[in-house]
This record gives sequence, structure tokens and C-alpha cells, in this order.
Amino acid sequence: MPPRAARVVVCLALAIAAPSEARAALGGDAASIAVDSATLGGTRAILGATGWEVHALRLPSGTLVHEYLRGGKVFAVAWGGPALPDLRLLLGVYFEPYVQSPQSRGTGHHHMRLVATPEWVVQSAGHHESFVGRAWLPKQLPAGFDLDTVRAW
Amino acid sequence: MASKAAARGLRPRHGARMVSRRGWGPGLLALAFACSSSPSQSGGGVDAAAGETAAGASEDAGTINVAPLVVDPGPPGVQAVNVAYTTVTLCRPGTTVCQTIDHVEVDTGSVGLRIISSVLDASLMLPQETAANGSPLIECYQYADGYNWGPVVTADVHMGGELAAALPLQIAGGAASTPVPSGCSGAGTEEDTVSDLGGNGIVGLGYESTDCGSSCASTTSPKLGSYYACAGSTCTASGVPLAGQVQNPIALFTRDNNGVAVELPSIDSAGAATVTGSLIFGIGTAPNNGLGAAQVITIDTNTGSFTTVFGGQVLAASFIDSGSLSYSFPDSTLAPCTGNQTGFYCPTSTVGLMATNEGFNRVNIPTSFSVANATTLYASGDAAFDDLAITAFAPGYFDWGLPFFYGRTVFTAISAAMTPAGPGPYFAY
Repeated sequence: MPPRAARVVVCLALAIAAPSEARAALGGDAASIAVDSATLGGTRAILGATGWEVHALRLPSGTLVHEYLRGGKVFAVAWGGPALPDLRLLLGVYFEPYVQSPQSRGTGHHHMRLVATPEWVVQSAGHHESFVGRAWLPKQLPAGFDLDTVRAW
Repeated sequence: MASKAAARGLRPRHGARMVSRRGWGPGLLALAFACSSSPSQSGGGVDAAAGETAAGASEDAGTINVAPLVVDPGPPGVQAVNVAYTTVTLCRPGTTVCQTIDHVEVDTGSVGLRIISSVLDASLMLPQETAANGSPLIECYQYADGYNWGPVVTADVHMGGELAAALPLQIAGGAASTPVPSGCSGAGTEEDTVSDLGGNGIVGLGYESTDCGSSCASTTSPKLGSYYACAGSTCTASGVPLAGQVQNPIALFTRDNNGVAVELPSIDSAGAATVTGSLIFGIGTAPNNGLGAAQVITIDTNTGSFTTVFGGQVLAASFIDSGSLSYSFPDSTLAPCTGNQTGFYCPTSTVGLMATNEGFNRVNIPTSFSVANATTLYASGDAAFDDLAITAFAPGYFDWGLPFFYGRTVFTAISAAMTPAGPGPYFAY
């Protein structure tokens, strides 16, 4: 069985075994994105890259999600499309700190939010039916990784 | 959930006074101007008598389509920067039981009217819309930084002298006893209080006539994270016909319903404490809303985007948006701010820049703008700045936010609506 097929089988098995276990995508392991896939209901493709992997997920809303993995751990995510993805699933343990953060870049500014800490960064922007965003863990980026490649738009 | 508890605890304390009205002619205009001429009064209550006129008073065709705009710090406790507010009056459909609400944010980057529930006088008793299965219809409306969650109701909505009869709108925070579905709350922060939203409400006057469109009208696979039929605390995604969706109020006006012009005066580059301007409804429908010398750039019908060429970059997902408090664009040469303004630009002195906006119709508009030191601007304590700019983290777009609107008349034409320059959607300035 080729590696990719094996991975799909493993992921499906995990998804079936733990369908309600919404483990973190960002900072989580490969199994967590399988849960994402099952929960978010999208179709997935795995794109090869040197030193890391990019998993692309097309959600039913049409929104594209990219998850960036190294050594089985998700170190970055990105999204783009007509609706926001469920950031609670994508950001995992970083979702609540993001939502609670006072760094909202000014009251009344509904079309952009930037929150940066030494441990994690979330950037979300967009307007009516057109959203983009990304998040990453600065201390877990692979050497030589270009942040400009964290995008799904 | 914390913000929900706060919402329940809030009492109507500003922007809220019940008025009983018999007629809607120049009287409403007088009411609107009364608010406009005293922008420092964030309480915004207007004596009912001042707004009363005899029923059937003739309309003034020159100004009936004008609603006030003010850029100021917003309702108490908000301390807004570069937020343009207007005043709306909501009436129980077909009655004279009404409430005038000031400090409603004007957002050409979204669609639909949303009022914070704590501001609304409960005695208005606006009728709740029901979903196809008969359960109350509750909406999730998503922004880049969060969402509004609340029931869809209908009201006769007056802006200036215009009327949108039986307009579907959202009462943000008005479904506090119904848990927010995860597909909604996953958008970010709940913005259902005055302080979280930054106003008593928000009115989206963007290029579309409904706030979701055909993807939410599907009865078999409605778009997730939008409309829900909620029985008790159980909510399921529900398809909603276009006419039942939260609407752009302009699209329901009986006249001047093809778009809007936002008109704000020029301001000093150091900032202004308060700026007053006008929302002018209709494009080429009255003596005061012709396109004149304004040039039209048509936009993508799905995303509202056009192309900005700036500093050698082709930014194909650009947009004009009164609901953004700053310009937002990528520029590696401008000095970044530190501290509280991290993310904004902080050049040592104000920089004049030039970009070109190109529509799908191939019309190019060379456009100048300036960028000042954001830390200096914020330190001034002013509420209005025409030179505030923030980085765009995602390559590919230029957000022409409220700074762009000062000293201009900016038109937004609604999709498929006919105007003297052809059908919308487009921007013109």
C-alpha cells in the first residue's frame, strides 16, 4: 500500500474512532486534522513540500483551508473563501486566547483582526463573503520556512 | 458567553427613545438633522414633538434622500476611531410605535441592519421571523473578527426621509438564551454588546441587496454558519428565501434604491475630533445624487473586489469599505509601529502616496492618499483621521477604509440595480 493511501486509511480510522474529539489543528498532530476533515466535512488533498507537508481542505462553503505539518505536528494554518471556517477547530487550544485577546486593532474595525504573541499569531481579514486568514506558531516554524507561503487564497 | 451575560445586564442607556409618529415627511428630516447638528450628544434622544409633522406632508425631493453621518468617539465607553455613524428609526410594521437609534455604524463592507438588543426598547415588540419549519429564525452574521448572533425580526425602517417597509433585520444578542452553534461561534468574538460592536448597531450598505443570497436560500444544503431554525436551545441550519433574509435597507426603499453615496468633508492631516457628513441615497435619481465627474469602476459580482496597482504590486482583491477604520495595504518600505499600534504604519513624517484603482470595466483611477504616524495620531485623542494605515498581512489586497472617504463622495451601486452609468455592482468616486 503506498504511503499516502495508508495515511488516508489511518486518518479515516481515527476519524471514525473519535468523531467528536475536536483536538487542536494548530499545535496538534496529524490525527487532529483528520478529525477536522470529518467534522468540517471537506475534501482533502496532501501536497508535497520539502521539509513539511501541506494539507488542503475544501469545505462545503467553498472556503479553502491549508494546514502545514512537520513531523506530524501542525505549525501553521491558512484559510480563504466566502465563509470563515470554524476557527475553534482550526486554532484548537489557541482559539480561546485569540477570542479573549484585547488586541482587536480598534473598536468598530470588523474587517481585520491581528493578534500576535511570542507563542502564536492569528491574522484574519476580509469583508462581506470574502475572507482570508492565517495562524502560526513562530517557535515551531521549520528552518528556512517562508511565512509568505502560509496562504489559502 | 461572558459578553452575553453583559448584554443581558445592560439597560437601554443611549440612542434609545420611544417616539410615536404619525407622519414621515420633512419632520423625520428635521429629526435627522437635529441629531446631525449635535453630534457631541451621544445620548441621541430626540424629543418626539420635534419630529412630529402632520401626516401627508409633502416630501422635499432634494433632501428627502439624505441621512446624517457623524464620525465621533461613538456611544459612551466605545472611544471609536474612524467609525462613521448614522441614525435610524425603527417602527413596529404598520404602526406609529417607533424608536430612533443613533450611532449606528455605516458599513459599505457588509449588508443589512443589525441593532444591539440592549439598546432596543422591548415595548417595540418587533415581529420575529420564523423558519420554514415554524421555529424562530436566528442568524449568525460573520465578520473577519467575530460575529453577531440574534433573531431576525421585521420593522419599518426610516433613514433620512426614506422608508424600508417591513425590513428584515437582526437583533444582535437578542437570542441570549439560545446557545450559539459552534459553526457560528467559531468565527471569533461575539460582538453583541455596544462596546464589543463599537456602536448601537451597524447598517451594511454594501453592493448586495441581501446579506447571504442564493447560498442561504437552498432548502437542501443551506450555507452553514448563517441562518438557523431554533426550537428551544436546538438550532439547525435553515434555508431562507431571499426576501426573508436580512436586507440592505436601500434595496427596499421605494425610490433612491439603486445605491448610496457617502459624503465626508476634507479634514486636517493631524486629525479631527468630530466630522459630519451625509449619506445620500440613490445614484442619479435626484438633483443631489448625480455621478457628476465621478468615475465608475465595476467590481467582481461575487467578491466585490477590483484591482489596485500600488508600488509595483497588482492587488487583485482590493475593495472600498467605510467599515474599515484605516487603509490596509502591503508596503515593505513604510516604518512599522511598535507598542499599542503594532501592525500600523509609523513613518517619521506624513508620506504622500499614489495608487491606481482599476475596475473590471478597465477604467483606471489614479488615486492619491497619505500615511501618517499612527502612534502620533492615536495619541491626539481625535476620532477622525484621513491618513491612518495598517499593514495587509495577506498579499493581494488594498482595503480603502474610512480615511479614503474624507474629502470625497464615494458611490456604491447595488448589484443588478440600474443607474445612469449602467447596472451595479460598482464603486464610483
